[in-house]
Amino acid sequence: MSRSVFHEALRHLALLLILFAVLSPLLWLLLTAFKPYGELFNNPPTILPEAATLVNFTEGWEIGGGKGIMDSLIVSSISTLICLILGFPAAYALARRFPPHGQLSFTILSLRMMPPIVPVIGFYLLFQELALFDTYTGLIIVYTFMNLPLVIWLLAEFMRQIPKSYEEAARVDGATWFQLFRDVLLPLSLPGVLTAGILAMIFAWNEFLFALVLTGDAVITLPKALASFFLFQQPNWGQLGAIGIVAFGPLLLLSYYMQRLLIRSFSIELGGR
Amino acid sequence: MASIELQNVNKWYGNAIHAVRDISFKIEDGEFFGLLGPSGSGKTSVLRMLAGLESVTEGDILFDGVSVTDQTPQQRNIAMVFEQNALYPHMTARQNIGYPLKIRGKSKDEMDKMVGDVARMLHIDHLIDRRASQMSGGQQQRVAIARALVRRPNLLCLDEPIAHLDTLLRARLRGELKRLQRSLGTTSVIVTHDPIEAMTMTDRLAVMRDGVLQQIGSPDDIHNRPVNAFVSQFFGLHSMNLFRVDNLKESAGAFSGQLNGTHVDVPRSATGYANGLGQLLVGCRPHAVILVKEGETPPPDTFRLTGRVYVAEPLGEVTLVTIQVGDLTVQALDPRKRDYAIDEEVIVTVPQSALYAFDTGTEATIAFGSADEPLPTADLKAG
Repeated sequence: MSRSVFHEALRHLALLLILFAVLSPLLWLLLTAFKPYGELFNNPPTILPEAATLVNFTEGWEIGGGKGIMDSLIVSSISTLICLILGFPAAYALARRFPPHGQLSFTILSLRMMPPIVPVIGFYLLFQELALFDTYTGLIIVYTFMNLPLVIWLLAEFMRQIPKSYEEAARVDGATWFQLFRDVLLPLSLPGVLTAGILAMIFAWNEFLFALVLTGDAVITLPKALASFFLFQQPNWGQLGAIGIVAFGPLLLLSYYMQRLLIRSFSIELGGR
Repeated sequence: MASIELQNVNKWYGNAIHAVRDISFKIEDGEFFGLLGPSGSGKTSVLRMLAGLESVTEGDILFDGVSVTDQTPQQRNIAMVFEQNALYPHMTARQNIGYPLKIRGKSKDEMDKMVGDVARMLHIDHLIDRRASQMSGGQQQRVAIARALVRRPNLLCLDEPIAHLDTLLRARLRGELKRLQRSLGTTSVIVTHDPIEAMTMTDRLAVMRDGVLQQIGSPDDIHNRPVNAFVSQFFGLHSMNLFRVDNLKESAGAFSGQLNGTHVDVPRSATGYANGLGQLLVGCRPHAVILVKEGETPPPDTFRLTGRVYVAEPLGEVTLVTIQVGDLTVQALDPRKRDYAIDEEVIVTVPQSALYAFDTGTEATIAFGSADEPLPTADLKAG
């Protein structure tokens, strides 16, 4: 009995240590964001901010953080939406008309395996010619190009789990293709759609290389904005922390709400079996 | 409602699998038609082609004399009850039943009335706001049937609709489905591998094997006048017993031969065909077998074999006795309440008039059990 309590305590201790190792940089970022500039260089350093302030947030927003967040939101949400709209019917076709581990399935997924550095030069030259350099449209196209294979592949895997009899029932009931997609397929594959959407969104939100090479002064996504603070000036760690925390926020909220939605739609799905 | 006609229908899956081979038949308006066969016989492919879920490789399907071969299920206006997994899991029973009406643009009031009517008819009005996951298998199938009957389809397709339910429920739904079909008069086709379902529910049925139509007829026809040994074995509550008789010899106008080294008489009704064959298959239904225990006198004019009881299973009114005759297994239904010991020696006797005879090569029927019935040549499809 006491032995198992001891084991339990040991296990919790190990978990705490791992959590601390993983979360401490994030925690430091959070604390830094609320410290005034001078306090950052105190020796010995203070753990909790002595004179907590929001000035880092307001200043950080003005010197580029605000634009970064807006641009990132525009680019990642639109490209995610396009990925889902194009990916859904493509995944349906892949799931129903092609073998599960066939050539086409592999070819589509292999596009996602390509290191981003490979197509970036091609995109740069192409975008110069097509006047897409440094535009929202350009970046949206690139993120769609990168995320679409994964979205198709994930959704197709998910759709294969849905029994065909649901679709056949809908066709027999007289549904058109559009009605079949809207009334039966979409509700049944909602967990898959949400999962694929979140992944596409996170990839686009965090993406740095394409944004760095393919945009200039007009479009500055958040990762690029954050990086630029290091490039051109002595970084203000407080502002950086504030922007970092704000950049992290949307993803945290998205994941939290989607997780609840996911659990709900999964339970409907499983209940029907 | 419509009459349905299949003209030389073929179905190929790829180049290798010829699932349905040149099938033609007609289903009358309002008829309850059965497609029966073991798994892989092509019966489900035929139903799915009728429904429009599967394309027709070759041939034509006509509804009321008009070709629908290239039409979608939607255009054909058919309804279908699937084996399982058919209710939309994200909808309640009411939404499920109302879905065909909703996509046809019916008003809310109209829908509520029609859904209510059909739900009462199938005794599911108390389940109407539940989801599939909150209903038993039988209740789900009732909802699926309600969804099929809520509108008036040209054809109702039933794909093993009650095969997955437990025995009691299956028996009850069998009766209900038959009654519903009769009162609505909807042309219906049911696919089943269960001869009892086919026998009890349908007006006429088609027996299939390996994509080939074996026989079409009323349940009575198929039970009592099977066209070949396969149909006789497959159809019926209990399989027909089949014996192969070799070394046929004629003496005084009657044939006899060798079975497992025993001398047996061949049915007289087969005499005309037995000439020159050398061998044939003799068959009998288990209920025609009369078991003779040691010390009893065998009835006269019977086909006789001696064997040992393998096992006896009381079925209430009758006892199903399995007898081992050499390496042959024979089943008998004994209406008398008698006890059989395992390995007890018994004589299997079958009245001459109850014997069937089949050709050993083609398995085609040569002679029927109940005396002088004519061969159903019109419905006979060579295998």
